[in-house]
Amino acid sequence: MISGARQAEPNWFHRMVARAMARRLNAFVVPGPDVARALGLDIEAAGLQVVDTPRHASVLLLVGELPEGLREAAAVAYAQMPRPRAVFATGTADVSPLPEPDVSVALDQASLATGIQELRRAFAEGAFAPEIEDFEAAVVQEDEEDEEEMDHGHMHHDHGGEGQEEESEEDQEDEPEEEESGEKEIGEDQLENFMSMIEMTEGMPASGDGLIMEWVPAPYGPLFPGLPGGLSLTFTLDGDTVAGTEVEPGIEGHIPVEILHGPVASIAERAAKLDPLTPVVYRWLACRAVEDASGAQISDEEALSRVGALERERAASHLGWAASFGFLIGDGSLSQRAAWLQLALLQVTNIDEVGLIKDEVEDFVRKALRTPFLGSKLGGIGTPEDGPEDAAGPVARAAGSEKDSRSEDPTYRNLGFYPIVRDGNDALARFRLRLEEIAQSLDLVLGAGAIASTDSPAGEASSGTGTSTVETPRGTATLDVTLEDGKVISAELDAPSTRNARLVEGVTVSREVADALVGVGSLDLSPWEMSR
Amino acid sequence: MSALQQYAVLLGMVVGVVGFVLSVYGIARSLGKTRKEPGKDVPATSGKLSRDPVWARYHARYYGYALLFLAFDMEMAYMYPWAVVYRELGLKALLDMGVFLTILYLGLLYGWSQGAFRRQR
Repeated sequence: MISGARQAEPNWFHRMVARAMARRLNAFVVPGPDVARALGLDIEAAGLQVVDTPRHASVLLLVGELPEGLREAAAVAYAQMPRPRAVFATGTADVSPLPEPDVSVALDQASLATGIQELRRAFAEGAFAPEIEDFEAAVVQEDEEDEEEMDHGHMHHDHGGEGQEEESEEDQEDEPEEEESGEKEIGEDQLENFMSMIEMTEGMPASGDGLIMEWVPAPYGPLFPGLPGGLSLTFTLDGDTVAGTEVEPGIEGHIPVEILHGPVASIAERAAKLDPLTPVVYRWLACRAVEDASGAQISDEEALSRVGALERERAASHLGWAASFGFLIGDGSLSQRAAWLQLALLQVTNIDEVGLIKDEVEDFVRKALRTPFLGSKLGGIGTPEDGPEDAAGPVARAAGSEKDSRSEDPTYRNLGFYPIVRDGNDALARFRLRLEEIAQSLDLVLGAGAIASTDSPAGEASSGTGTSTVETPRGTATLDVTLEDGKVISAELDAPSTRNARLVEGVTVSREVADALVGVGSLDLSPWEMSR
Repeated sequence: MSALQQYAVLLGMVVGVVGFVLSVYGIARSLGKTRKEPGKDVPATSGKLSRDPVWARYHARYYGYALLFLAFDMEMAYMYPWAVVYRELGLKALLDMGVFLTILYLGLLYGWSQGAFRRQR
């Protein structure tokens, strides 16, 4: 029996339905398909259909280690899934408050495919069961109680006739005062003009156009398809216009930068956990900071192979962004092709394979730049009110800034690197710039001639302080570390998504909600970085 | 096709539709009852349960807007068929419409006098 079996005494009909369902399993992915792709998982190739809402899903697919905030969001999504439903974990040790996974495998493509076969068997055999248990996670129950309280409150307020029978004596004693105050509120002016709407609008906030409407808070994230998995925004909607935006600082419970504390030799492994979207970048950042502290030098070959790995990750990251952004703007073919190329690039093991993919990537970039109506769809959207001064990475370079720490790196200079800069400061300029950077990064990979992820820092580090700066796919990241007796005792990280997150309000307020989402999507924020 | 045959076709369609509905209902019932669990009936989006009741409740005093809407909506609903036969009926049609619009216009004037268009002080 699977954890989310449907209650029924199984007969031939149930077994037939269960076998049919097992052939086509729909998965809702947590934290999101973008994270799965960045970790090299091709979910659809392995045999699951990815859906955008838990209501259409039969499988909750957990990818990687999930912070507490995401596990709770996953529990809410699981509670919404219709039975029969199952939990499938890939590389997730702690799944609470969810039930124990029906299938749990390691985080790699081969294990994913094996796990799906196991899941199909479990589904076909145990989708229906005579005795089942309710899913009663606290996160679901607490909110439901709040809901009931609020609902009761409204009933009492709006439909006094229904609620009066249940009222306590105290309530009844209060009633005359309420009536008196009610009478005071209706002035003579309103009695004379009894159809006036002034009473309805008085004290309510006014929009930019002066029209007074009811403002509604609407959550977007942490599991909103189209935005990065884990990113959590709350729009205050004034009709279909955004009147205010609140950005949650990262993901609740995500590992802090203090994870870098400890032995220097294994710092790269720990740093890779800081952001699952760009693990190579953080490996490199941590190793360079330690090398700076110890004064260790790396060979030219090592420097080139690190550049190769970093630029491969930049190209893959931009392709991943294009896949998510294509989905957000409703361009399915752009999204699918970008996703396929991202996975193909991440599976590359040697430099020759990069050369084979490059032609396909250039063809993709050429076609994407010629997408019909792109200018009218994205032009003028996502322009921050306060200019690009605070922006980092492609967001800044798409606004005419030449900010790029690679310009100061001798290895990059020898490879003939120059920062690509565009004007526009909108979603269209960012889209074009990132596509051009994909092609540039692959040229740099081929120029470097090698791809090697950084496993550990060079040299013997003992004590001292070091700083490193790396141009990540989202902008410049800086890490300061202090070493003592071969161990990191303090670490401070300045990540680009934290800076770009400050632009969210400027690109969303006074925009229609669809344009606001496109504006946020064009910033390419990583909620994992924003936790710093 | 005779009247009897036409009724037979109609009966066949009714039987077909009722049969389809009953089949779907029967399949749904045979798959087991929907279980009421915590959080299942609460609206959720993006991994968060709705903090406020999703059913927005409108104050009864918005009835004024509803009346004004009805006045204009009925006017348009009447105008379409009227426009089709206007040339045929001539002046009589114009007078009929004049009386109809006057009655609606009086309602509009009454609403105006009672502050129906006032939203702000």
